[in-house]
Amino acid sequence: MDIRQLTFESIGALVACLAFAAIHRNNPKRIIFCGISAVTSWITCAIVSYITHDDIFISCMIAAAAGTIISEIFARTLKAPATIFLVIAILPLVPGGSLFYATFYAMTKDQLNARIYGISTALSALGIAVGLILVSVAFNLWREIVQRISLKKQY
Amino acid sequence: MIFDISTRVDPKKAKSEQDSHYLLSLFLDIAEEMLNSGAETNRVEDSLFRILKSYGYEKVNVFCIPEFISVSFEDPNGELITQTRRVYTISNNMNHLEDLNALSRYIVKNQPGVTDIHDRLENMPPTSYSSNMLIMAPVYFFASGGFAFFFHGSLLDALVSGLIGIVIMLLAKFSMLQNVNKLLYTAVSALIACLIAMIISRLGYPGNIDKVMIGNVMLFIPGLALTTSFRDMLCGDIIAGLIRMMESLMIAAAIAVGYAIPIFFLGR
Repeated sequence: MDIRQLTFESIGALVACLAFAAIHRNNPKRIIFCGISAVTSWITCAIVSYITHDDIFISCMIAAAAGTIISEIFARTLKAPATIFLVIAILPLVPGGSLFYATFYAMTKDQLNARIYGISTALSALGIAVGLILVSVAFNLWREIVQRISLKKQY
Repeated sequence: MIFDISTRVDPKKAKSEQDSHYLLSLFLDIAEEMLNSGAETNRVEDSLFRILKSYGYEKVNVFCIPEFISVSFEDPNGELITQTRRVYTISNNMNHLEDLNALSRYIVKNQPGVTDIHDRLENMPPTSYSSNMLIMAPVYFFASGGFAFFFHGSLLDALVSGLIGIVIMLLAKFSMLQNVNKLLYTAVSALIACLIAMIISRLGYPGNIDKVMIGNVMLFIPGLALTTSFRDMLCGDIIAGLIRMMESLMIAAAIAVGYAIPIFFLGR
């Protein structure tokens, strides 16, 4: 694994995600935590990608799950809505480059590359969705169970 | 799409401090502003439900999708009350979302009267730095340039990407098109960004013009809407999730079209 390249990517991701947190008009106190969650999810993605030999779906899934966990932890400790951190955490994983290249190669009639990048886009989007859903459902279920237990105690 | 400029109810016209009709109107104001700031519909429904239950209302029914809120309940006097709200704008304002969240927690805890809620809503501080161009210009610069660097572009690519990002920011600031039709605005904005990049590439750009364009694309991609739509769908609210997901897919298509046209004409 190329640590030097990973460091450069993490720095780029950190700068870009801090800037995006400002574009979304966050409270300045929250911006640094958004950056932390983004870097966490990107490093997780890089590690899992190295372990599974560049399996896009699994690495995006586990990275999105890690990002969601960190966002929910921040949300609970800082008493802020989880959406704030979650959106920025997902941002490095979102297939911007793949989507761009897919349409670019489709436009220049390079069918093979268009198909490759198109599949890559779809796989990463699906992976993010599944990772998000797994962790969010777990947290939601936990919250519902706690609520029902407390309601039962009332009666 | 004809709508009133939204104004709050006047608390002086309320019959009492706990007038359920006026309270409901103010609660719908809170919910509408939460949707305007980019909350998930599940969060809005949850907040409204908690607020109404805390006042002791019975038969509380809340329904929310990204464009419409409907609430009805029975107040302690036995009156059955229903109000609805049509919502048009959805954008991001996380600071405002936090303030609204804090306000709804306060309401659940204290059950204040009409005047109190009205004053708190009116005096909510707007985000300090988002209208200041001197701050937003470097923000857009680093957002676009950072992603160009992240996608393995050189520092020169990041610099050019950042400068085009500032152009995009100026477009967003000075364009009325944004509120009229979001799709058209996204396509036009993407087209202009790609046009500038292609012109620079034609003038003999020494670096990799692809990385520049990728950095700008990341500014348009609706990451927030996509994420929120998934969270909506898994929380059982399929309609709201589908609405947002279709909107983000169409925006992605608009970006693709906007980028395709200059590339097609000014070609490789």
